[in-house]
Amino acid sequence: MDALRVRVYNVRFGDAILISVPDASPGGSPVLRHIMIDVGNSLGTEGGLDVVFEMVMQDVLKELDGHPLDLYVMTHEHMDHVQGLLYFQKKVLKNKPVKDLLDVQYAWLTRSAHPNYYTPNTEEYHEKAKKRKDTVETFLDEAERYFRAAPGEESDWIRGLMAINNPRATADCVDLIRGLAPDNTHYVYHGLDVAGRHPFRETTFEIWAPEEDTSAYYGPFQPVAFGASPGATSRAKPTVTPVEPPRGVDAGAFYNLVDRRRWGYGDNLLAIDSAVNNTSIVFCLNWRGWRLLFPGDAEERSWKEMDKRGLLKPVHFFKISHHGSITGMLPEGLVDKVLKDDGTRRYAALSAYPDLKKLDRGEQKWTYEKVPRQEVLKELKSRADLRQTIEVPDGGYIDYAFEGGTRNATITTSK
Amino acid sequence: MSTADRKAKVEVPMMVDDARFAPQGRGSATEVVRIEEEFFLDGPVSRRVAVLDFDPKTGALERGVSYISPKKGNVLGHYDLPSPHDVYSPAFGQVSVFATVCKTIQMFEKDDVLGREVRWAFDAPQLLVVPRAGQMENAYYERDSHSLQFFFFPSKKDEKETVYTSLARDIVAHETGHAILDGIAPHLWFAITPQSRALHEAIGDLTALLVSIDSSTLRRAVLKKTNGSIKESTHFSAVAEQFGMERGQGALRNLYDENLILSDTIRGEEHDLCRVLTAALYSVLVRMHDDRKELEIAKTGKDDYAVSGRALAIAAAQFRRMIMRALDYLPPGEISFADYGRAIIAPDQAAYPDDEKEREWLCGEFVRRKMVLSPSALAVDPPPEDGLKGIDRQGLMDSDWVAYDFANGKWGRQLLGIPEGVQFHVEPRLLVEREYFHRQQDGAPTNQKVGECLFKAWWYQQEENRIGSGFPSQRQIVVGTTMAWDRDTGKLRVLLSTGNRDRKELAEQRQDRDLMLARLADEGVLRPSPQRLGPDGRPLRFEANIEATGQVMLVSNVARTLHFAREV
Repeated sequence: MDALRVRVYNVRFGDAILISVPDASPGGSPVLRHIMIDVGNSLGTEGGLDVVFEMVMQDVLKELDGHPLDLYVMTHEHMDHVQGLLYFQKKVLKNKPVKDLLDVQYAWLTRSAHPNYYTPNTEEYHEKAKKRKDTVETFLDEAERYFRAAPGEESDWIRGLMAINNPRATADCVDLIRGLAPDNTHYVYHGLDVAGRHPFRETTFEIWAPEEDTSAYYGPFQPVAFGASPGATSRAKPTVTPVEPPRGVDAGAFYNLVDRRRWGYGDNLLAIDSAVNNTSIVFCLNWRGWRLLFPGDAEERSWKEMDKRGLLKPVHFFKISHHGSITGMLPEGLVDKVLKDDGTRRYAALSAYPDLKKLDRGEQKWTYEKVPRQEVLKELKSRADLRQTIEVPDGGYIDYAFEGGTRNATITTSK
Repeated sequence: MSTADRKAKVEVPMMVDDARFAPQGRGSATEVVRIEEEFFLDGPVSRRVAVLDFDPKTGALERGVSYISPKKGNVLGHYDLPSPHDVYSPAFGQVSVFATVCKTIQMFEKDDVLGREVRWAFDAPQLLVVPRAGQMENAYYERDSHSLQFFFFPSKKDEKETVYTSLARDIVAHETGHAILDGIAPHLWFAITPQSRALHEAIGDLTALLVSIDSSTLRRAVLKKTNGSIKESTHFSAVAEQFGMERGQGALRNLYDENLILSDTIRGEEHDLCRVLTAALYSVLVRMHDDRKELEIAKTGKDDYAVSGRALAIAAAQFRRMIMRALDYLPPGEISFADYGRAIIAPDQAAYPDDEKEREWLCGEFVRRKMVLSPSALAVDPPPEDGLKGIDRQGLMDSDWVAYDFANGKWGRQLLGIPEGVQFHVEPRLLVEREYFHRQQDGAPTNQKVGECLFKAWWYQQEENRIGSGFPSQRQIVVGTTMAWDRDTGKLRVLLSTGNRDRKELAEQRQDRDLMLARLADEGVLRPSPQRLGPDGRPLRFEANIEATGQVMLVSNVARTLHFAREV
């Protein structure tokens, strides 16, 4: 019996997924087609081990077995989803083009990754999104300058968030992905008819997100007065501008104000991170009675938008969004629309790299720490057969095999 | 510090109307404001207000405009503006925002309004004013940083021009109104009742309105344009008119709207609720103005337009007394429109028991607009006059111990409505001396000063918290009582409480709180702890705080979510 296989790799804190689908050739003969979704992991933390990419890509090539990669999907422009291919090309292939090796037929990138998305006077231009992007870039530049001037203020988490959201850092990775299938690269969004934008004959795709105009995904954001001046030359270290209370002004109140005006950068970093996560391509793959959902790192705003548009429906397989964070979890009331508690056997896969030591101690200093969140996992476990990539070694995988036309599924793992 | 101690005086210019962004034909206008304070320094800096002009790009503190002491034999100092006519220079901006903030403070402190010095909600003497806080279409008061922060943005009409919110008198007055109200009723900062939040916004808008009416330049211009009426959209009724125009919209809010009523669809929306409250009060002002015009016409024989200016000045002063003095009588905690209405009515009723005209107009508006369930919701029973008979009233004023002991006693709890066995807090008592105007039989006005002591006690009340999973099932809200007595006679004048609502009102408010908290959670600014910590390990600055003990939560700093931008 044919089975669709979803292979979820352990890349530590990031995503890499290979889907192998029995399909038909143009002539109608059986053919096994492959989809790869994202390859990347986080930066600057233990979750960002780079050597896993070689293991994962070698396994992918083995699975392709000389056949082309039919579709590559880049869900969104975050380093933990995009950096793997560039690393593999540079460090392992020694700059030999990875596209030649993978022979990618079609590539789907999130709509906002279109080269003209932020370019005025083009068909793809979105003014509102551009305005928000400019604001974000100005903020990130100022934050970077400040943290260079005051390195003691920067924590690993701030460094990680800054790096993962740095558009300049992702630019090369995204460029490479844009060039994977030069004639068949599509910038995907809800509402785009994807028929003809992939080679599949039997399999169908529903694009649930993102919306074409991504400006709706930006949350609260405030100007932050970092108070750092650029150095005298472009190479010189920036400095924190010294300020002293003027005569007659209480020093404590004055320095409290200076501190508070700078304080909101944590809010802004989270807002930026969420906005980019929400540009994730969320697609539902339908094959011989199975419905599989791959939401990238979609967060609350995106889930709510999908719900508003009546897109959410029960699925059999769910790649857990945003590594099991509470913000990536389906909001209350929507969980049951996707993972309906009706006795149907459902499956969920989590790709994350929790700091187990901190989990044991029950510590949590901030929002993303201790991801995945235990309450999220508890909820998911009550509705689906949940597996986590940390159950397998670095570069290993969890394999889900869904038999066509039946309700039979098997799960195996690499050694 | 009494007004007698304010020996230093300055006259400073204030931007009244920014011509660059006004509709064609309207000229630029500045006015001189006289300020009295203990001292003035460069900045401007005074004992209670300090302007701190940071360079928006580098964060460096710009040199404040220099203060020039009065010459010998003179009492009036001034600020040395390098180019007095350049109203867009940073120096003018520093002085103008200082003038507007101080003018607003003075308006509240008048003998017939609060009759006392305003005090801040934070434990420091100065309100810090940042005129160029950064680029954003916003301005806000922030208690934690003791500051008013005014942002700027490129004009929609001409991107080369910059719109400074610190130059907009109505925005500056509005934000100063928030700061002053926070000092008067600090619990409103934590309030989770939509109507409480709406009251904060409304007081900001009404402050802006009254500062505008106080400007003779604007008063003349508006009445000329409208032929003596304030019924249409004008500088007065349009809130943040220039700001709205520069964003490509109209005024942010229009106070004059005869058709606005409180409907179920807006129960949880504080900005819509604010519009209902301000519309109701503005309608009262319109009636007061019309009424005063009729009196003036009868007295002088002049026509409607000729008397409209004087009538507006008198009506606005009376209106100001009613709506702002009331703030001191608000009971602590979660406030409804009915509470505010009662706080307006109670002192007015005590001072003018036989003159019900304005109170009836007010009740009529509150009922017509469905802001109260019935007219009886605004009925204020006179407090027992001898409620403090035999009580050591001097001790109540002077000693925290005596005050607490009284409130904790059987009679004290009964009078103040503090349930048996519930712990409570007593605020430092407030001594005020207010001027009340009366009319003699021949019609001549006479004034009377009444010394009052304000006594406020508050405690926590627990209620169900139906805002979704992830949040505790119960929440705490603050309720309390304000009691005021005549210091000379010992008679109780006002006794208002949020702790003894009738069931229907309580249920309605609890539902409104659920609605609003659920909306804030939906918007992502109210999250169960510890999600609300930032990557630096500090609480997120722009979100409300939740402290949870078991299945009971206490929300604080909700007011900050009113003003912070919703989007990038």
